[in-house]
Amino acid sequence: MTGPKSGLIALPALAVMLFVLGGASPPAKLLRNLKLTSVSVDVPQDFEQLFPEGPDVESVNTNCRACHSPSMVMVQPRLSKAVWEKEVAKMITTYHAPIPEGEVPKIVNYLSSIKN
Amino acid sequence: MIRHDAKSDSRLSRRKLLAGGAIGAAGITALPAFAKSLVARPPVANSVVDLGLPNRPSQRALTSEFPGKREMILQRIRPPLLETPLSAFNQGVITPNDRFYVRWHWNEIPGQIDAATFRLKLHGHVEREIELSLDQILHGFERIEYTAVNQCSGNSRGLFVPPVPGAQWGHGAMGNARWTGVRLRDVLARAGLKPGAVDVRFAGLDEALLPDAPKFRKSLAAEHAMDGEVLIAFAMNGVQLPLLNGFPLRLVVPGWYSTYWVKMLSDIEVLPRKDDNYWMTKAYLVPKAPFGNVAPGVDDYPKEPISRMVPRSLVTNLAEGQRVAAGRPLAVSGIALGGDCGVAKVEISTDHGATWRMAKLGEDAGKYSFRRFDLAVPVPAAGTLPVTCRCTNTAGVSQPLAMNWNPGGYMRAGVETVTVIAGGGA
Repeated sequence: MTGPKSGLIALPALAVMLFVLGGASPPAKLLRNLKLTSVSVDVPQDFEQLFPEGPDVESVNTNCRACHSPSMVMVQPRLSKAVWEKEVAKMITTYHAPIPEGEVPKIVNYLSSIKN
Repeated sequence: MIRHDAKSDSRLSRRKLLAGGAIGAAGITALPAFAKSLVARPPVANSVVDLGLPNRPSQRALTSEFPGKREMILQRIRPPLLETPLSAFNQGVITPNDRFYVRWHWNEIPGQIDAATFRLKLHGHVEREIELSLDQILHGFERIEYTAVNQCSGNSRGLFVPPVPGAQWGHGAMGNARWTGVRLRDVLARAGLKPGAVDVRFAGLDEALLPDAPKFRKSLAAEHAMDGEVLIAFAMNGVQLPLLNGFPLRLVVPGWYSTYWVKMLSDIEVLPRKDDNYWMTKAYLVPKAPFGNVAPGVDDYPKEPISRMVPRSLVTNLAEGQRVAAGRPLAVSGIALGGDCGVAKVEISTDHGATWRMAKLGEDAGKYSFRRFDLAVPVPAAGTLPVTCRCTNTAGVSQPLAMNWNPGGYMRAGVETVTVIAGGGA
């Protein structure tokens, strides 16, 4: 009696095992031949690019170009002096740009003069 | 790992720029001499494109000078912001890697990454701090893949009226790719989240020049990170990621704006509290309102971190002001995204939204993918024809007819119109 009984139990157990094994065997591996290759590239830079002429241009050339290109500044919409003051304040307080206090009005003056 | 020689070279040149700044104009005139020896040449514009941005400079240079990229719209050289030309969206639902847009916050981006020594570190509120090699990530976990749109929070900011400061993007700060990788959940399980894990924070190899500036880091709630959908991708459209799109690993957060899709992912930190870093609590905030919409001039409203995308659609086969044959049906086609779920329908109006016709949807590449739409619309004998498209997603959310607005220039969602001219050519 024990033989057939255990066989009855064993069959479903085997079926479950086969199912589990079937489910656990990974599906055809995605991108199985993919190998990651080391990368070495030059990302273009523009450290020598100056701001266009304008009032107090020396101040923006001195204080603004270490972290970012002048180019995006020059395609901003025309913004109020108050908005530019906020932008410069953000650079100093949040991003810790080392801009002397006395330079702030000059930078804002230049930015507000952009005729976009 | 990064080869630090090249990185410190470029960092040195920026430091000199800071130092040059301190000594004034004399320092600036001296700049090009040393800069030339230390940095790659600046990109040269091939030609110019007009993005049709209202009340602001609208022309941008096109450039092919960035590694892994064909012709891209140059929004900023440093840190790089490259926009996908609209034409790339008119050729199927997948955006090719070499046209896929690029956006970095900080300029200290390593140009050299060694696949053999790179490590992804998991630490913080975990059972075991671990470091995984690329080999371990590629071969130690089940791989999954799906197609998903990656869209910058500020995509189309250049069309905001009234204008707001920030990158003045056209519609090309987005792309759709097939992402292959391993589940974030499985990788986190290898380290084991301790009870009480609240947020999971992600950072990449990019660094700010100034040591006190906030490193770019973004977080997801622990349950989101463990949802089994968020992916650590090692391949994009079947090949390794371009460096500028985040080689070797990038977080993929389907349905969410790209600010969470951390590039060059190298550090995962589990936090037992809400992340209070700058990039989660001060930057990338939107009004807590449908479509992040708020009236210009109002500035007292609750804010929340940007998160799920909203439905959008764009006509990709017609240009503003294009002349089309009069009195004959005009083929209109484009792309739609549902946002955080699939596209249910796209409708077209040629009468400023008074009446709508249902467009035919293209192949369904998954709920997070772009989906193409097509419709032939009648063209009058003469005059202008405004062609407006509107997507409704599977959650029943439709693009609003009135354009949404907020001071960050985020989440543009309203219907877009391209106006063509009947007759006189085509």
